[in-house]
Amino acid sequence: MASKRSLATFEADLQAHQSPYVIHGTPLPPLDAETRDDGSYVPIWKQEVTDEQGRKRLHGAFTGGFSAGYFNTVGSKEGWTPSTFISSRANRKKDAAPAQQKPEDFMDEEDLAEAEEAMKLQTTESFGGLGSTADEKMQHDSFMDVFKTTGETMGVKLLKKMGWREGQGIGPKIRRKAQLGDDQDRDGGGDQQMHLFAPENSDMVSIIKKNDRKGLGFGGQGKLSEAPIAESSPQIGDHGREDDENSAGFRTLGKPSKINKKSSVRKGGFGVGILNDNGSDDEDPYQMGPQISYNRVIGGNKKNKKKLESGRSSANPLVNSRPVFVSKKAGTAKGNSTFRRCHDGRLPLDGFVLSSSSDPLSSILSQDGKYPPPNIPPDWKSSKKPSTLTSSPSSQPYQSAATVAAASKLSPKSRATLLGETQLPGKSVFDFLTPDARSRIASATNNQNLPPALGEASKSSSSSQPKTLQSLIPNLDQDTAMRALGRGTTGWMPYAEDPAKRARYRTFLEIRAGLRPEGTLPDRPPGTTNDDWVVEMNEFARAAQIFKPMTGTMATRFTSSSSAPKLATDNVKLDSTTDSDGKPQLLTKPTGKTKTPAEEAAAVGMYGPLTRSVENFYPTRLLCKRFNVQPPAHVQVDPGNAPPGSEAGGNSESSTVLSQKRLELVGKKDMDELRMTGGGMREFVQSSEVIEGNTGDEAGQSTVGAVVVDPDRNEALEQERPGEAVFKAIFGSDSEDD
Amino acid sequence: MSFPNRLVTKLTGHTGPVHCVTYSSLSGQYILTGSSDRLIHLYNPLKSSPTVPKSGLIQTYSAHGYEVLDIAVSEDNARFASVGGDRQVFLWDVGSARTVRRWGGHGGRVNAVGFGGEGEGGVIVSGSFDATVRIWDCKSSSMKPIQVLEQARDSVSSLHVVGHEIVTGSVDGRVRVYDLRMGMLFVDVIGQPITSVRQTRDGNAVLVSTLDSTIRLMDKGNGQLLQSYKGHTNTEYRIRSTLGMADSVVISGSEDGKLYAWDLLEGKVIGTMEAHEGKVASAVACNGVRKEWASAGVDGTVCVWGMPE
Repeated sequence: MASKRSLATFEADLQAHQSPYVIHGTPLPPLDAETRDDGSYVPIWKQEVTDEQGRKRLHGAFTGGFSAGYFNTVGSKEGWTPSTFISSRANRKKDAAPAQQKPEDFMDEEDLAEAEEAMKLQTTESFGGLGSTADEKMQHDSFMDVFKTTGETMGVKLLKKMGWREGQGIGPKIRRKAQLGDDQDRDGGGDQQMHLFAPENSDMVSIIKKNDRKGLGFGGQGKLSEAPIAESSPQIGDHGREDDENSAGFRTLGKPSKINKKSSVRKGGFGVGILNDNGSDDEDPYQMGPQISYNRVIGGNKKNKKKLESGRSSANPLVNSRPVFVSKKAGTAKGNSTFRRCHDGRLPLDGFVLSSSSDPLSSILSQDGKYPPPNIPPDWKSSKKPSTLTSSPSSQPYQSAATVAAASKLSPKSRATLLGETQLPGKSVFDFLTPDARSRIASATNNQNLPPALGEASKSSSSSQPKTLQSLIPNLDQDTAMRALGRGTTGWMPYAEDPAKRARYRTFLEIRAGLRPEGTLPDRPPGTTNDDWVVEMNEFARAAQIFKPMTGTMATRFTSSSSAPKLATDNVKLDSTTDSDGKPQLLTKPTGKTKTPAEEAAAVGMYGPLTRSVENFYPTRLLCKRFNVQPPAHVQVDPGNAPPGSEAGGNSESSTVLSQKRLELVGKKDMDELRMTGGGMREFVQSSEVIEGNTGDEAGQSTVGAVVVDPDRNEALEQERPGEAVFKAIFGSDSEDD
Repeated sequence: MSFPNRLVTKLTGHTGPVHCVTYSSLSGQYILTGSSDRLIHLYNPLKSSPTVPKSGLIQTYSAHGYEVLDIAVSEDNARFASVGGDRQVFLWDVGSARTVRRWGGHGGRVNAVGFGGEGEGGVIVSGSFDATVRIWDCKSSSMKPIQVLEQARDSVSSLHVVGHEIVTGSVDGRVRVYDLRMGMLFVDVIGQPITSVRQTRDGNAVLVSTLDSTIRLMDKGNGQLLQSYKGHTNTEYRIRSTLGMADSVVISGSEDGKLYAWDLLEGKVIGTMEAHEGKVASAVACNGVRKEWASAGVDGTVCVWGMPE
């Protein structure tokens, strides 16, 4: 008989319950040993509701209720504590309690975050596309999205930076009268003022793909099935669309007409249903108004017939030229349009005429290879040989314009001077520098290609001249070169692995240090080009900058290594650690290095104060305990926190050693002198004592402790207000006051 | 002045150079030797005869994977510590001949070891080729050192722990005295790589061997030179020196295979002994109770010297 399983047995295979899918291996222990994730019953007072961070939270009725956290309390152990207000004369409540409680006072982080979220403004998704609705987006070829950039392209950004705005054309601004609307006669408004306007935007050249088998310009009958085509290519006129400007339905490919928009009433075969809607707003099929005329008779009426006729006539261009009444305004517009325009809608340049047909000769030549160009005889050689001696550009292989442009050293400014443009008003820092300062910067940055300084002639003309080899040698301070050379003589020099290169480096340094006669050129490795040579010399110049010996405080912080780094070329016997007897050689004598004063004293046997130095040593507390000694005084404070000099240890010897070691920014003597002269200035004395306290003076520390900072009182603010005259003197101008 | 210059016995058994020799604590009845053959031998010199090979060998301790460079015996003779090329500090149980603890952490071979602290739960101080001195706690089970002293600029070749002071000698030519009670570190520049440091019993001076074939007795208080001892050869190898006969004699090995003894105060050579077949005599140790001392050599033998009969 099946008895009820005891809780203990159930708990025993709790883990198996929690990971029923683990067949091999040992299942991971549950994330939280306290909670059980097996869905067993937990009484309501045991349930806990936590937020994402795992904290106990009081939730609203829908997310846990008051069972969250502490049961039936307001989420705290003690329950809710009413807010108190205490104020006394001595201790006034500074900021009055909030006069009004806001909802935010009762919101926790999650609620606040939600409120923040709700305040965010963002566009709906349909705005993301290219001014399209969602269903048009559906038709987009996803492949095209790969190539189409969303948002502003770099070109648009650049144009906008230059002052262009969307909707404007590109080019210099035009002075013309304002065009206030179509109804205004262009010639008429003589009283209008001339203004500067941005040029008109030129239309995009859109070439419409013809992918049906209908005649040119014929869009076919408007059918239900054709609705998408009509939608996607509205330029191709439907049957029945009347157009007075162009011959009905006939378009020159690639020149869409804008006048198309003002299309007349559409009159289809059986009326226009909702399915025939081509998407344009002005053709609401159910629009009530005089434009709409419903067809009530099957078979069409007289008007419809006429439409068919015009549709047929479109095939014959002669019929199109039947006399039609043309208004005066339209006539002038037409007259203008007799000048043929380029595809971007502009008139051709002065003196140029657009050709009416393609070049007859070229068209003949291109006709299916009738007159092919003559074959070049195989043994023919051009009389114009490219000269191999001079490196003329013609001898070089073809280079694209981009690579040439990348290689050219012309800056925008030098290009402008070459083209004879006026200089832009923009100024660089160098326009304010004297030539002297500029040369200093040039030597410091090692860059000779800096813009000319104030009053200095532009060097662009000289830079175009062929450079002499002398000028190719990179600049290097004579001082730096000397020091880098000096470092080489004392021991180390770069390029140890390549003696030839090292020799070249040395020559280069000698030239720059002025040790060689003027005009000598650095050695050049055999079989290298000018460019390689210059590159190597630049490398030398940088190496000299890096490997010059350090000066000043930096030099004191480093000591040269006793052994040179092992080079691949060095063939050092590595078995020198064992001697002939097989006994490991435990100690090796260090090679000669610079000696400290103490070592020098030791060398001459002057052992004593010269060779002795005393430092502080911080044994850990455990170590002192193991050695059964009391920790030294400066270990009583945690040595990790205490600065090395701030111990209160009374050992005068150590403190003097420390103070000697310390880099004294202001000499102790100077400080004393200053203190003597500025006797009355108490703050100064305090501050100097603070400095002393840092060097291990106990008295200094006590003084530091005496300085009490009162957080409630700001000396600067609560001082007596100075007289009006002071403010006048500082903030001065009376004219502002009046 | 009489000096124990009679060769009492010769302890054999090692197959490689012997690097260190130590007398046991208290009565100094036994001798511990560490060798390049990776073994530590425990001898009873009284039961040894120079003619019988391996006579007097009581115990062999084998756990090291590299040469054994230094041995230190605890005060109660129950344990001893050994260090060597395997960058570890071994704590041995003398009776069971097994390692009780092994501490790793040094970055190079460990040159010197010493017991410190009071009572059985003291510390072990080890100085290494990695220029650090590490102090290991025998009491706790921590595998980390209590403290690492990183002041040395080169390999720490020798150390001596006396009371609350740790004296270290380094190849950078400096003797460092760490005074735990005062929390001070006294650095004395000797100028030459140091091979051995040993403090006198009264704690006022340190005996320092350097690679310029000189042994110096330095005043610990002010770093002045009290006496120097010359005559032996020591320019390449770690030659240990020691104080003996109640700190009245300085004894050192030499690279010419001889053993030298000087009078502490006068600095004169009072004895020269030939041993170890002319090979390097690397280490010496003095018995604290009897007038007896031992020397170890590269020939793999340990000579025990006693008073002439």
